[in-house]
Amino acid sequence: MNDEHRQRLDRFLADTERRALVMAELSTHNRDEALDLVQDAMLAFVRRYADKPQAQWAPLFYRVLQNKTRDWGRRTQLRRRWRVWLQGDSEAPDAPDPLQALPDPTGRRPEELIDGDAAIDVLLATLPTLPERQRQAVLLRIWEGLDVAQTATAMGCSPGSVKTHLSRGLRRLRESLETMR
Amino acid sequence: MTEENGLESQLRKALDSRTDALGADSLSRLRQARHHALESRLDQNTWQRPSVSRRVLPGGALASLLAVAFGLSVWLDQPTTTDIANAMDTAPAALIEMAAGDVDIELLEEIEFYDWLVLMQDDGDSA
Repeated sequence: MNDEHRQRLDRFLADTERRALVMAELSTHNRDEALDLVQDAMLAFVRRYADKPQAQWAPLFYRVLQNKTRDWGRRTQLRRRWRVWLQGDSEAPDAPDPLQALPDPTGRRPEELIDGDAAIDVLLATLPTLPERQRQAVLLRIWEGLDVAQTATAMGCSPGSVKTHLSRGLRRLRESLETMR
Repeated sequence: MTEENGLESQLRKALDSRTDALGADSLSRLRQARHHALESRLDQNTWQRPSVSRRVLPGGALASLLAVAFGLSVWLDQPTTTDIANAMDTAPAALIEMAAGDVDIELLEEIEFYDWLVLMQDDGDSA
């Protein structure tokens, strides 16, 4: 790896790392766990894919991060099952209220109904509750700016699935804004 | 601004605000992680050098094999004691004397050396 290549890699990671951390934190709900995941993803990405063309770096990096996050989720789930088995657990996750998903009868756009700061709070509160795949599609397409093909590479699915996940994710976000008006 | 774009821009704003709110400690850890990843790449390059040898290895093995084969052929072709005896019988007497003379010169050199050594030791004792 020559100096120029190293600098380009450094710039790419520096440009990506903060968004990657926020994405990982939305999945883990824990800053330290998210930092560990991003660090692992950086290591694996640099070792495996640094020689790939720069245009492929972003989807490949997020693919690695997604795999790390999924592995983390499985480990956490396993630990939780053991804990439940050992200690017993009376708590069940709350099912979403179907009334909250009803559309606005006035026909106004949800984001028009509440002011900017409140909308930001609502969106940030809703994002972690989205199903993992929907959240990934939203974050990679809307925030990271990857196109459908790149997002499909990052998510390891077909472009059609990306569109479906994105559409459902955006709908859920819009609905959450609507309920907060 | 379409409905979709409005939602998307708000979403970007929300996420950017979260990125901007990252503390110095988190940013420092990210920076360390990045440098660590890049350093690991350098280490990996160092470790990958043997892969070059892996490419060279078959050539080296072949060269070694050829060297062993050559050594064996030389060893098998080397003259036996009977061959030497036969050669001595047929060689001119002058050649044999020259060959024997080499041994004498070495012996003389050794005798001179030991004489010199004794002299040096004597000088050391007297001083």
